Amino acid sequence: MENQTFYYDNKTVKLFAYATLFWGVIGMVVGLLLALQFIWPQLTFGIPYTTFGRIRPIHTNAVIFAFVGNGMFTGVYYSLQRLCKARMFSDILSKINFWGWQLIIVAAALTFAFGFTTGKEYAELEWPIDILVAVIWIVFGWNMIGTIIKRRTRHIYVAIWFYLATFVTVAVLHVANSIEIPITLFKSYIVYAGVQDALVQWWYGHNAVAFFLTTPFLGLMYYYLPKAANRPIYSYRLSIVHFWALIFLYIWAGPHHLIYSALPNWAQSLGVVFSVMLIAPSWGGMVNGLLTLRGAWDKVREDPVLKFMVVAVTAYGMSTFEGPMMSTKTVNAISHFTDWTVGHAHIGALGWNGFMTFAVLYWLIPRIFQTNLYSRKLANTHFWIGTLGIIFYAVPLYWGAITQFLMWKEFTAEGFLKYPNFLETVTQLKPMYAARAVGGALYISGIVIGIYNLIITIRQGKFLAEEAASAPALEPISGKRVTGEGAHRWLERRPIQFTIVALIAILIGGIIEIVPLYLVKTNIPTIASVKPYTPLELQGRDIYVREGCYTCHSQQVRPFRSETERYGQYAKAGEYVYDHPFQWGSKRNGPDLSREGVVNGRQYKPNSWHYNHMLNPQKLNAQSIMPVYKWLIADDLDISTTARKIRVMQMLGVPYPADFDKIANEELMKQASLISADLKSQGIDCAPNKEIIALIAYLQRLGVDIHSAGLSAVVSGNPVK
Amino acid sequence: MFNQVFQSVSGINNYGLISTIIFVVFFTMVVAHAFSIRKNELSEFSRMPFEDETKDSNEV
Repeated sequence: MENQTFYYDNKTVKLFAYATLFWGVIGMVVGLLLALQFIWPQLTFGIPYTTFGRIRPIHTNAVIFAFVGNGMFTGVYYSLQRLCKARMFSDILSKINFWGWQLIIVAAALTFAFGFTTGKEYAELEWPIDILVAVIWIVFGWNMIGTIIKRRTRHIYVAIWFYLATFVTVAVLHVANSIEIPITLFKSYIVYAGVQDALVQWWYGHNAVAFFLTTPFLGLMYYYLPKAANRPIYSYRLSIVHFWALIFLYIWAGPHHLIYSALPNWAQSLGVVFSVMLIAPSWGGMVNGLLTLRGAWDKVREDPVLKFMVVAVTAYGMSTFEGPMMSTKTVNAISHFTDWTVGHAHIGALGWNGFMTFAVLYWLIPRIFQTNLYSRKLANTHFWIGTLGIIFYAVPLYWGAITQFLMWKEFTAEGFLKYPNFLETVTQLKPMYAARAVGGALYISGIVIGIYNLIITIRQGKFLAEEAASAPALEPISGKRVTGEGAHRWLERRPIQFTIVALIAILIGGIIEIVPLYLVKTNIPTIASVKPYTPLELQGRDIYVREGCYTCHSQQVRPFRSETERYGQYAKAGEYVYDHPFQWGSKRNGPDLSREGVVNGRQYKPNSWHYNHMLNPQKLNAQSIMPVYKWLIADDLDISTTARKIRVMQMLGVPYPADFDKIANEELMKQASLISADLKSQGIDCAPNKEIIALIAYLQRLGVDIHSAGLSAVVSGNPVK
Repeated sequence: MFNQVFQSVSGINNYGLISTIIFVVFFTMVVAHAFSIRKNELSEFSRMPFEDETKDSNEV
């Protein structure tokens, strides 16, 4: 065939690379601020926009979707063109992909700061931005598949398999976990409730890790590691097994985030079984990466790119061993809700994603700027400071986690909790939190050095926007299997069919896990005493969601004596049936709140305590790391949305009486007046129309329904029949 | 209909076993395929990131 000359688009690659560095710094500086707030809670500055619950999603989303996301696009746009020997399918789609993604990031940061959130971890974006994400993701997939279709190579290299699986699975996860009914422009209710919402959310959450943070980076590993080491991947055969086993298994593992929860036991068991099995393909990938360096380890000593890659792949191996271990019931019993999870997540994010991203940038930027890296020494300095940063970050958190679970579970000889006050366990962790902040600061310092090194590299080079290449056109052959061609070999040259088969592989696990939870009623036994929230409690719950209380407080008492003694009855599936969204949380920086409203319960506090606690937590206890929420006391509750919220809840199956929306605000004010009067009797002057009243109403409702005492006389209005 | 089908699944706790069997079958097929590929093809595929830009890739 005739040789064709064409040009690789390096401009889009460059834009994504710049965005990666920019958002990396922003996301991690916000993370550092969060780390410092554990030591000095006053660093929330007493304003809503910088409080922990609002900026924690900014940090997680910025690091995952802005830093790692842009890093992924950088690596994919560069490698895909070269592996396909073709320019990207459409320059316009490339532009839409880039600018659309940046728009999403800016919109996310602003909306989270303003408290617009769905309250679902790593899926906090409200519905208009969810739609934008879906559109831009489809643009990315369209551009990628279009490029693959017009490629000049017959076989589709394994790295591209991972890119395709990433595209199709993230699309499925995002859409399935974002089915919401809008209330206003920036407020919606998720259609799933309670246990079902929890399962869908962690099916998404876990697989966001799998298919946004893992599979695309494995694709990058399969391209950039051989390039950097200048030798082919150790075993292409292993990469095939690795790919299919990984995508098939990963999708099942979500329920391991819900072990010992109210999720039916069979679903938990599935999550555990598949999580443990995941070690095999994960380590297959790690081994394949590391063994690629066989006979080339001397290069690792000299080349900072390989250094970053080796630690990245090793961190991947560590995380993917630790994850399945944490999924076993025995380990999960002690690790869940502690800082162990945070340490584990950051080994993956800082080590695997962060270091692989920097390896790609150090390898790629000098090439598209036709120069050499300005300073190997600075790159090595970045590497060592970053590595120390990861160690300083993770080790204190592991230590802290051991401290936490030992203190949470310790009983005296007389059979009482040794540390019944949750705060006692928090204060013990402050030195570890300080060390963690040092680790984070080190990691960011390394990035600043890296950015300086890359800026000088860019300045000394000359950007090659259009890189000329040539290859023979691909001669069309039958879309059907040719003689002697196996089914998989045929698939390996058919991108759309390949994507469909990958889709089927990931759907099997999702369907088998999720569908029975909806169709088999016995999975979620109802509890007759559990009633819908009153209008005031519903508004209060939305404030709880808005402020991101779930980022520090769980609502899920596990069936351990140490937890039932501390909090009260263990969680039951039926008590969450009206929770859109569920608010079980995943980390306890503060105590569980699901039994907060049970009068005479272990966690019960009067209304006045809640008021004073929100106004100034440190006044109640100087050691508290709870942020202040004084705006809740100053701000009026927006009751213009109450009727619409009731109607949407009715659409979702919450059994409010007919026409209840018409009297909802009347009911709301009745209940608010009772709380206001109670506060007045305690010497606190607070009008019934303030946000704090709604939040108190919600907190005082928690756990009440499953206790025989019924609703508290002080806080309840007319219980919904 | 689906509801009735799922309700009639006796012992939903067997899901773990069923799922594991599905995976083992799937995994066996993938391994069988991986070992059916000829060595020269594997070598060619694994060298794709290094391929000379002018090399003809038309052979199946």
